[in-house]
Amino acid sequence: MQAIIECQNLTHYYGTRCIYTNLNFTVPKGRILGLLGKNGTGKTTTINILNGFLQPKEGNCLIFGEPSGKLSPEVKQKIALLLEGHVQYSFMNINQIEKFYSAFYPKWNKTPFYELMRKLKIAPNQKIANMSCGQRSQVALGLILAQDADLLVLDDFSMGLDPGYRRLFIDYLNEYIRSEGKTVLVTSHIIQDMERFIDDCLILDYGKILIQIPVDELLKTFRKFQFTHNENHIDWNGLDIYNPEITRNHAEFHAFSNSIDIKSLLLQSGIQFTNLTETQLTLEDAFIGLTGKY
Amino acid sequence: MVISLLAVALMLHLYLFSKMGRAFRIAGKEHVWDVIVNRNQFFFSDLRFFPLLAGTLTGLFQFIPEIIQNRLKLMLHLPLTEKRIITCTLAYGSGVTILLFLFQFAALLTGLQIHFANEIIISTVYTVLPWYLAGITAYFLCTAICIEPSWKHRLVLLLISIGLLKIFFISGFPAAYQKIIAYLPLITLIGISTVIHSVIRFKTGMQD
Repeated sequence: MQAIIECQNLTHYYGTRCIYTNLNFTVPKGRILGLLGKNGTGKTTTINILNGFLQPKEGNCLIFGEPSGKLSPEVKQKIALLLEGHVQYSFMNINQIEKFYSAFYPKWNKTPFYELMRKLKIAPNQKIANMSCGQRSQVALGLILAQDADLLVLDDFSMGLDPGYRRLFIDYLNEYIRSEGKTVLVTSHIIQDMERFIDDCLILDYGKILIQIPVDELLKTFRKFQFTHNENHIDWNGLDIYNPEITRNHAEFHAFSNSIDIKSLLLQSGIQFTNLTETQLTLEDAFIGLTGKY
Repeated sequence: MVISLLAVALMLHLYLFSKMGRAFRIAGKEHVWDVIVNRNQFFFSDLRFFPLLAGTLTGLFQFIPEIIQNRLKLMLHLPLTEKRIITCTLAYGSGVTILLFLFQFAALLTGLQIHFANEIIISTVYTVLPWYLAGITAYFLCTAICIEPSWKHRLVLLLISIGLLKIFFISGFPAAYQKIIAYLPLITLIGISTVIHSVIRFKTGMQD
């Protein structure tokens, strides 16, 4: 499948602080990729590189085959950008901002924009500066729909939104993206929102990619395991598991496995256990399971 | 903001010419002429820092909201070449500044032509032109400081800007810059290149 975004060997430092080295990933056409990671793992850095507002120390990032730092106007027309905080020209009103952007985009279709504004009872002459954060997010969403871009880059779209507006944003966007076959790269701090939205997730850890996997596959194969034990110490070394934790006689860890394989793994390692349980995870649980709580 | 600056320019103009009218009435035209021609007094010194202030304020009012509200990224993502986006934005700001200056300059020349000989008018033009150039240069330097992404570099740019702008105000003597006036736009060009430097640094995400 054609790759819309291709990042090859991205390496970036702020001063001497390494953000990541040799980061490679692609976003194929028609897929929705969620970029997940704790604070400071390089999500914003990656978004800035993709948007052409940061030159990586090494490596390159291609969008529609062009280097992200030097995109032609034709390629920029194909990319809808939602900046963190739903930044817009807040001194304009609804009519003015629609007219302003329509001049730049040949595929501009104002119908979905005004439909969304009517639905939210936002008057055409209402100034963006006087709107709530939720309303501003819908203006930004309406503009993205009207632009009819092929690639949507959404940086922390849920920031500052209450659950209702988050749900509205995702439902509206989901329907549009699925029906039009758009490609999306999205980041959000609220991972439970992403579960209903993204096809693939790319989880960043400090300095590297922890995993890039379809969400369905992650939720099908990644599990939490808990058991009771009577030992003072458990040696987890050499086990292919994530973030083991022991609280008194209760132990838990995460793994891409099932209880049968884990049972034999624990026996082979000489770990005494009783009451082994396996729990299916939500995306947020899986994220914590992979990256740890702190 | 532009309207406010225009109002200030108009008020300053009225003040300068009412001051001149009063001098004519109290001391007599002959005396005023004598002071201007023989004692090299300049009658419109109060105008000296207005263009500098106007250029600075235009730059700040145009770009501070863009920086604070993070809209510069929005602007640079518009489907035009970055060169065109920056050129259009700077052309708008500097165009407004230049129009304001032209309006004030034309009003000054009109008033001068009523009362003074060509020699005095030419001397006045040579005296005030560096101030207007300082205003245009200040616009570009302020823009460069606003767009620059790092505070450390902003401070360096601020010091360079003060140094460059000081060149326009070394002497208040009438027509002091007559012989070098053709070279002063070079400082304005440095101002423009500083903006380009800041845009490149912003685009590459420089933080130090």
